[in-house]
Amino acid sequence: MLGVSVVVFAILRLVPGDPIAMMLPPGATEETRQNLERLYGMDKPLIEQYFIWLRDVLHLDFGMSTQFRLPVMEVIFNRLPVTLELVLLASIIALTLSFALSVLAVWIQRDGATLIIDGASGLTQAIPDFLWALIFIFFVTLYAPSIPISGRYDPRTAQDFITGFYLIEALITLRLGTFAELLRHAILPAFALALPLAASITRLLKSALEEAMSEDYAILARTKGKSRIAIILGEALRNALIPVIALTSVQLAFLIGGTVLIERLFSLPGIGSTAITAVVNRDLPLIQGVVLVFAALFIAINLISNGLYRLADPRLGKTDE
Amino acid sequence: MSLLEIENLSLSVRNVRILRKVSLKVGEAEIAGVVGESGAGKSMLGKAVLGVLPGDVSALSGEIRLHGENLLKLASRQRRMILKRSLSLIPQDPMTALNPCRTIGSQVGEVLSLTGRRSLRADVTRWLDAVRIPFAARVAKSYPHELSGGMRQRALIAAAFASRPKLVIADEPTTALDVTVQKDVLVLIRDLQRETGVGLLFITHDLCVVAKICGSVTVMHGGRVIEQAPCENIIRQPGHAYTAALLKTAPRHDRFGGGLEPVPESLVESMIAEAESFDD
Amino acid sequence: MSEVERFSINKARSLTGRAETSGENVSRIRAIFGGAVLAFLIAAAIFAPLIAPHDPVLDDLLLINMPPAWLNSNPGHYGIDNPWSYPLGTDSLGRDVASRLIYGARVALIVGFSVACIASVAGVFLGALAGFYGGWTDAVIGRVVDIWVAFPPVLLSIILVALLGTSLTSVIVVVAVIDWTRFARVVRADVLRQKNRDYIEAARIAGSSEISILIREVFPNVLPLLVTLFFFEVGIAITVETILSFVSLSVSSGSVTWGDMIAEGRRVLNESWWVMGFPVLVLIATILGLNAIGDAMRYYLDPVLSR
Repeated sequence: MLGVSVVVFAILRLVPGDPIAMMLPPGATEETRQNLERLYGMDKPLIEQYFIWLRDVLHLDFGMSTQFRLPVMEVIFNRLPVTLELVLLASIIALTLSFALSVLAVWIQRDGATLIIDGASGLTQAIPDFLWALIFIFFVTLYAPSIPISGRYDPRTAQDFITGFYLIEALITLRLGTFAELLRHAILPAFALALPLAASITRLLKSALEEAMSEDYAILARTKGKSRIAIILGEALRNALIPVIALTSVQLAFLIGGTVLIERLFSLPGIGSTAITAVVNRDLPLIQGVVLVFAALFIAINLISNGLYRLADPRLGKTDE
Repeated sequence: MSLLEIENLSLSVRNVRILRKVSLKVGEAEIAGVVGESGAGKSMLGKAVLGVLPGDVSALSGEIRLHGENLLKLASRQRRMILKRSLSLIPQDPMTALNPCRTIGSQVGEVLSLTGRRSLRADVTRWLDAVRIPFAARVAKSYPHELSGGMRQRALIAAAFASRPKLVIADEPTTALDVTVQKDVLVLIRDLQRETGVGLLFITHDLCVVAKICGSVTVMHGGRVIEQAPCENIIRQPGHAYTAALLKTAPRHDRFGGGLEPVPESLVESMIAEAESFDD
Repeated sequence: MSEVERFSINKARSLTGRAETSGENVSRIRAIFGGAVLAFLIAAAIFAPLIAPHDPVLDDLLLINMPPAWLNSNPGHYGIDNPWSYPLGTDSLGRDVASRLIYGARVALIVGFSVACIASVAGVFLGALAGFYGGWTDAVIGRVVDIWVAFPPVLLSIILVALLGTSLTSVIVVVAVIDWTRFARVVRADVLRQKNRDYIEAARIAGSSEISILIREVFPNVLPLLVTLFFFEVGIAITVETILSFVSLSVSSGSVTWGDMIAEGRRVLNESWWVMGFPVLVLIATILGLNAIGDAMRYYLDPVLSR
């Protein structure tokens, strides 16, 4: 019951903005439509067209991609796993890095270490993922040409997968050699995506941890004879997580947007690079489909983070019982 | 040998002197009061004993001995063992001293598990019962925000006594509470102290509270001990003008309508002058 | 809605949080570094024809892929005497990299500052409107902001520019249209936060009109944050422009952009790293400089911080 009420509440909170977002091939695409319809000389029954399209979309029918001559849904389903795996890997990297660094910084408690971590995360955060990708490509090409910078896998090695989630599948089926090979391809784009995110989470988590460490309950924990690291992990971390989750959902959404360029730069056949080719080829149904998928991902992330937010903070969630 | 002996403790934070050669003793199973206005350094005294001073302490000298062992000389690991086994704190503000993300039960229970006990849940409930929390089993599962300030303070008191310490330091444990529950909490602390026979260092600004429960009293001002005596004596015949003035600031039932008197400023000034002449 | 609101203000604060923890020295270093970068760029953009050693779009097939001067051991091979006449080398069409960088600063700065101006004015206006009047004004603007947030800005700008056609104006308009929400969110949240404070109430009771309250009482409080955001926005707009021209969707051919250079350099990275290396370096310096100046300005403008 509690879980259901939480989810329902979260949906209610999110929904006001979202039906509209779902309806218009949105903000932009409202304009997109009009322009394109003028372009194709079919601007007459706009509202009618729109409702027909909406009905189709609700039946998961996005039309045919003019570029691939395949249903849009098929194109998207083929490519979505690439993007999802990239986002997943990047999130894992970002979270691991930022948690390790911020806990370390608060634990060490030395001015020097704090200064280094602050400065490094400040610089890292300022440079967008696009530039990180270019920096990686630049140095890898010049100094470590053996590291792959394009594609998901080496086309020379035969690949055989049931699903589109190659990394996860290889891991589950324990094909570790294949997994390592896939990881070698995925690691640079994932890092490029992850670095700015990791930096901003580090900053936020570190200051939240520092704040929590000066709270009375942390001091009381010291009088119970707990070690500093035990207090950080056992008392402060959970409290510090609450504001971090709030920020991270927005950041994760940016991360999804970032895949557009990262996939392009590393020649990954995901949704993002598909979006660019669709735009270049004026593949309208595909553009609409892709934009909707991105919006859906954004909403999904918001829902998840809202759920996590409630899980992390006992003061929320039970109150509306 | 007393349970706790503080000898010539001096302490500065950011080069401001907080404590000046403070000495005091707490005997086994004794309640020793420390009284003073805010800024007298009494809370810092408690923190020094517990070793949770702020990070910017610039000078620390003297001795704090528990069972004759100087706490200030111990390595941090040994010190933590002492904290786990022998010392505990009843904090001032129950609204902030409980971790909002953990259940009451886990926060009371962790001191039990630290002392290596079984059947944790039953023990937690027993302790919550002991501090007269109704529906103890249910409260153990709830989070701090679901309880009133008085209930939280009871839970904190349970946690402080549950670890079976030798010495409990109560740092203004009733200040943040409603007047209506202050007395209950006070009586509760005294009763628990009697049952468990721990030493209790009771820090407060309120001489009335001291009069109710303490055996001996240390009056502090400006980081310095003004007067030390058994409680009765101090109430009847204050040995120092400051103590007398402090007594007059306390509301009393038998002097109704007489009005409250602030500590005379001239007295404070002369005391500061006196203190400074000592330092040099 | 309120959640998103809070995130964005948190985000803005965490972006600018550096200024809060650091003192005057750091701010001075930031101001100097940022100011130097910006002055350098502005000078390059204005005086491009005077400074640039060569025509940035002039091909010279004899000078293809010439390395930077200090690595150019054999200038005679390319038929020139002094390698320093092409200080940063040439690209695959024999165009001078240094000159292209200098001319590229023009597009970058024009786009950056135009976008930041339009986006900040529009965002501040709409955000203040929403925050101060509340009600349906707030509902409408808030809804639009919410929808905006749900779409990846880069994708959106690529789509919009593709549809509007590639030109300087359309790039500016598109990026401004996408990014105004950044300002609107911050201003709305701050106005809301301050609207109910005592001093605003005092001004209201003293008979000030709403608009004058807004300008005299609320605006000065948001200003430091806005200035910081403004400089961030310049950097963001420059990045987006680079991205757009990287996927060849920006300013039409004829103008030189850093994004073009990076795209070109990406293709020939194996043979001549300098074609991509230098524009990336310049772009990074630009972004860091703008960030630094934004942070420094916040420190100097905020009466609480610089006290």
